[in-house]
Amino acid sequence: MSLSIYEGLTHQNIEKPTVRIMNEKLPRELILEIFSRIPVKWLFQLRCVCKRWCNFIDDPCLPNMHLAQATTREEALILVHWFHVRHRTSSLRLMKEHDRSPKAIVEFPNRGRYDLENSCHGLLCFVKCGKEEEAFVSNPLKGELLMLPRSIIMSRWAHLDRYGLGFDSSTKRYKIVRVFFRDFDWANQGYQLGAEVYTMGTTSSWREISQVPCYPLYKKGAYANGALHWLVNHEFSPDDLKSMVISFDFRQEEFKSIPHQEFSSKVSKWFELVDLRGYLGMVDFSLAAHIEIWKLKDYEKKEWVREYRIDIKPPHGVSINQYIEVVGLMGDGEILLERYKKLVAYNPKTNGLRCIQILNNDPDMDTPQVYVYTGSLVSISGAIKS
Amino acid sequence: MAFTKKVTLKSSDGELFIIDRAVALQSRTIQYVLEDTNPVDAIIPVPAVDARTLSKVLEYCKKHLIDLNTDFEDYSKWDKDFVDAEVWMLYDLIMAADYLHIPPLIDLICDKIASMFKGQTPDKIREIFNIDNDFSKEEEEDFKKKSGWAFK
Repeated sequence: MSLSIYEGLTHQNIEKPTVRIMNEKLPRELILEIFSRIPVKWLFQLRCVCKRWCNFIDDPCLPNMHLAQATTREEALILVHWFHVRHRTSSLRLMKEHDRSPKAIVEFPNRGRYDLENSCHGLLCFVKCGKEEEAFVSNPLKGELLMLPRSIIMSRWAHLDRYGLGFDSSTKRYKIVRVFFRDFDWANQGYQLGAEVYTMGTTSSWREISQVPCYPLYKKGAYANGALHWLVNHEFSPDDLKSMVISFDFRQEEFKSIPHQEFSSKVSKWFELVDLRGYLGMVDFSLAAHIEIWKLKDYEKKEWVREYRIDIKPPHGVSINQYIEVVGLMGDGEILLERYKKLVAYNPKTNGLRCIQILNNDPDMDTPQVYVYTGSLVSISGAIKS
Repeated sequence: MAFTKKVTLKSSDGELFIIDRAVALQSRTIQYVLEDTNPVDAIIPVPAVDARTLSKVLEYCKKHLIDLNTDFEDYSKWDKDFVDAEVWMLYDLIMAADYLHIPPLIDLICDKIASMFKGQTPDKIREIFNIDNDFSKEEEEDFKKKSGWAFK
């Protein structure tokens, strides 16, 4: 149909399809526009098409253009974090169907048990808590990794510290926030918290900020709408606590309480925050035979909607006392769940559960951690330079 | 019948296109020309675009002017058919859309070209876009080694 318009034309020298599109005349801006719409995985393949394309894909302007397009286009990858118990080494691998032991894409530089704090723009923040508190940021797809400098402020309970990675849209810089424990205030029966920020690419040290969260932070953070979110620790929250969710705004460097509706339980232990591909999600595990996932649909108005109601019935379901984790939202709309070593996908259209994979039973390996991960071209070396 | 202002565009190969002013205004380049000089019955040259491509671009501009009120479904179907074309034609179109500065058309073609990469191997992509591989075998192997996860 689209060709019909040309039928009446009588051009003598209709060009044959030998135009070397994208490789000769097309300006850089348009090529970057096109590449910004291609998922990261394909771009890594396209780098080997020719040298010119490789240079465009490595262009320092492309990561940000790509991020602006990526939220809906980018496929969700499943990352598996292995910990070798005897060697005390960790690695990240991409889970592939029919491949029980895929190759590592990143090996962690130091020994010890690291935990993922959160991911933002395809960068992951890992922390080793305890005596030798240590954190690094990695873009696993680019194989890049940056150890953060150690803070000079010791925490009284380092294993309860929380780190979080985020992006400051005003300065276009990545920042890491650390919330630590100064002391326990016996008079008021509360923890004295401290907070500091490390900005990638500017200073080489942590900078303390005056504002601190009201209560200790709990569980992994979830990045959405330019802010990082955590639950507050229920053990230290008073009964009249209005909200269990606290956010950190990386631009203003402020902690804020995020309102939500009343749940049947007020114990944050029964909740979990999850990244629903750009939206903040809150999982309610406190119910008898199902779990609910609420989505913060309108961030400005703080409007939550119940997006998923997952019945947890056998064979893939579990009774409520058993441990189940919501890993994340896949690109095809399925919710990935983990229960012991079994990965289960919930399909909201059919309301069905299906087992995707049973994770490796290698006795030398700790139960792997699984993350739903959206990749990016963001380069750590670029983030430090710019 | 209401009187509509007309504008005449002249393609690089000399063909004249008499169109409604409102259609032409979708091109920011032409909009600037009209605002600056306000030519009455003058001919606006479009030296970077040939008649074949210009008529196609104008087809897009007309459709998007008339159908502003139709729902999104109809619109996207028409767009999809519009860019269902060969690579060389998409190339001409995107260059013209860039020169005439019609952002939604640029977006549409970029999306289309990007979608052509889906599921293709680097070899196949070189074939589609007529590109010579200037990497050595060793360099190519190195890519696969370093980013093996991206290759099947």
